[in-house]
Amino acid sequence: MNVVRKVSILFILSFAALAGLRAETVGQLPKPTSYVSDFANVMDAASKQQLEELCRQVDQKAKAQIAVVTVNDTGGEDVFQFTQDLQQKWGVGTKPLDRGIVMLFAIHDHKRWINVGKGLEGILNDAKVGDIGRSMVPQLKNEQYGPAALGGAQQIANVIATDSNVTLDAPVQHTYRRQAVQQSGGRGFGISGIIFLLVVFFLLFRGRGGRGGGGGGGLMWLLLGSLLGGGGGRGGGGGFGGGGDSGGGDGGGGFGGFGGGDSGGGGAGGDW
Amino acid sequence: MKAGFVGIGVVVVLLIALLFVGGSYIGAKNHMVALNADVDTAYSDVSIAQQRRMDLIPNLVASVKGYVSEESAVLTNIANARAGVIAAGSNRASSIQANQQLTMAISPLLRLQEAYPNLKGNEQFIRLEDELAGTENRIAISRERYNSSLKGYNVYVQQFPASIWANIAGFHYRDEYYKGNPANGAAPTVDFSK
Repeated sequence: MNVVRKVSILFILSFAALAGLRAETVGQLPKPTSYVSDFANVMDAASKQQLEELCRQVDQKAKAQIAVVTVNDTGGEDVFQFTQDLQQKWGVGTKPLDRGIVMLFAIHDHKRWINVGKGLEGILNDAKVGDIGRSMVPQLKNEQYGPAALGGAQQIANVIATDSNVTLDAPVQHTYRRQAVQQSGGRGFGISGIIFLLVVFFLLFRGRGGRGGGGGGGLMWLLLGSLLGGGGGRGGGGGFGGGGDSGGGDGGGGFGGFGGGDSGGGGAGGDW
Repeated sequence: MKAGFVGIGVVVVLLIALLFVGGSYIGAKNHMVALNADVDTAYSDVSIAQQRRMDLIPNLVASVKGYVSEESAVLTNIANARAGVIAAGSNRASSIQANQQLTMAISPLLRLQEAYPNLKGNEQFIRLEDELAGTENRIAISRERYNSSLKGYNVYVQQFPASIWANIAGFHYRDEYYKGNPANGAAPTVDFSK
């Protein structure tokens, strides 16, 4: 009895300690599942969706990756160091080119930082990034985090697009199917479309499988995969064939290819 | 006949031992050459970032001249430290030290707008500050990477058996780390009486 009580007290105490330790460190952050990681839960859905669309276009057309991240605080760490560590850990920007951007907002600290990968330092020098960061301040002060991040990301995207000689479409809502097809990563959006498709396919093939006998299961998934693959979904076939991720369109291993991007300390930031 | 077999056996064993030793030497030496090159590459990254800072300083100083008197200790310190870096030339040990002096001299410049609120309206100054802060970050990161590659080299050349080959091949321990300001090691004295 006594032991049980002691153990339960210990439990309660450790939970209390954990609750007190609300501060976030880079190591504690979950893996990114899309371009926008709103860990602090402060962005509106519309801005988030537009950001995703914008980042997806920049990734596909200009081969540059932008990660937009909000956290409650940086756990006492310097905001630059936090962002830098995050970029290293996630590897924002693919490896040989190092074309990656991390926009970090530490909401309670009122600190912002835009970290620029080595491959983009030439077109996004610190002063320019500083200007972009400062342009977000009025909206950040009004707690309009979504529109602020969108405005900043739009400016960055424009610089990258101009440099790469590509035009970005205005962020409009595409049909779910097209998103699922073009976005080989990023399970964040288009997910309901994929699930819908899955259900339809499942119902369709279950009927046939039933008639064909027990062995139809694996074949069905293979067919399903190749069907989706035929639709243009890179990696989708493999994913379904393996019968794995419910995300479907996710090509496995993060999204879109965050991985290996390096940053040498370029970028700028401040507070609001 | 028997003695002949023994003789051949001894020769074979010796040959195998020689092959092992030779292989170990060649392997270790190649690895040390690679590690040494890593250290040099990392150092050149540090140099690039430091050169960037050297180029930035005159612009930054010019942009604050209207606000800060030219005799200000901050500016004098920066000018002296910058001259020290130029004087140190390419000698690695003295260049490392001179650049650390400059890092210390330059840090008040990053907080200058606290002392001179008027500077906040100076767009050119603000943007140069962004560049300077970014450059300081680049220097910090490249130094960190340089230190870690130097550590990799130093650990390797000091560990047995590579240490033997390192001595023969002339790869020695290199104490060329970037260290923090030694003054920061002392506990700060806080005097509330003033």
